[in-house]
Amino acid sequence: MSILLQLALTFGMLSILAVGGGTAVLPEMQTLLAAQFNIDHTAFVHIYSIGQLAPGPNMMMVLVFGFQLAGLLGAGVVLLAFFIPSSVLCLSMGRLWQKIGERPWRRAVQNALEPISIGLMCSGVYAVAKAAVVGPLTITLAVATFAVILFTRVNPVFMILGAGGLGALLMHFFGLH
Amino acid sequence: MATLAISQTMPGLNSVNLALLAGDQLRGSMGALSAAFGLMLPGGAFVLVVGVSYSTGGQHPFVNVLLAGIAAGATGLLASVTYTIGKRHFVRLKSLFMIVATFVLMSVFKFSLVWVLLVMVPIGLYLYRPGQQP
Repeated sequence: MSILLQLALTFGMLSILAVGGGTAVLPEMQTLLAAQFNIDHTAFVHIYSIGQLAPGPNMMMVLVFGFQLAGLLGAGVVLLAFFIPSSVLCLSMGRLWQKIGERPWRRAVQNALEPISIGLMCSGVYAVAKAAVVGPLTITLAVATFAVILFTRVNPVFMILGAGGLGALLMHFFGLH
Repeated sequence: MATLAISQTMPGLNSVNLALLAGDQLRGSMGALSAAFGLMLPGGAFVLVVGVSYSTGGQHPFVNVLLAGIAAGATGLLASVTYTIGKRHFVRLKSLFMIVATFVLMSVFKFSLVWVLLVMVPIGLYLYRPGQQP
């Protein structure tokens, strides 16, 4: 199968399955990219982490996978495949909404999906942590970032860059891990 | 308000969905398209530039340790976002059951996401059917 078609199918399916936001499909994306495209978990987590430094929606890093596998055309295919299916669904539902108004079942669906998407986010944290948190230093950096973001108003981008810089210095010059 | 609720109920990134619906209400289809595109353009350009340099220079030892630190930081960020969104739910028995069951199916039994949703969504719809406390 052509790689562009395979990319379109994979990310098109992830788009429809992204209940409760993009983070919910992280573990599935990691599994699929490893199985179908040989992107190992470390590379996946590196690219994911770079994406967290970007402005705007938190899943734009999907473009990088497309680019790595099939150049700019691959990035374009992934962009369309990952955003068109969910966007068309959401727009249609939004317009239908204007006509029919609130229904008790809409609230029920949202209530049901909320804890499922939180469970999937926990799976996402677990999947990312398994590849990123590998020793005392990375544990310390992850916990420190978690605590500072939770308890202060520091911009997360600075925390991630700080963790990167500090971690790099300690690993590179002192051999810590 | 309904717009926010729909953007969260439907699949896809919540921010993109919200931009689509707001754009649609202001200027129809073209408004939806421009709003979503405008939201994604800066981040998309950023990840492409940085990601492409990673693809070409990612093997350099210093880049690798830098990325290892950044990945640890990103894990902390993801955990804090999950905690903030989930804290209301972790303390409710029904929600906690749904969260743990979803996590176990996905991360322990390694079900594919389609199967996780096919199992969990009907259970969720039953537990949260209209008239039930959330």
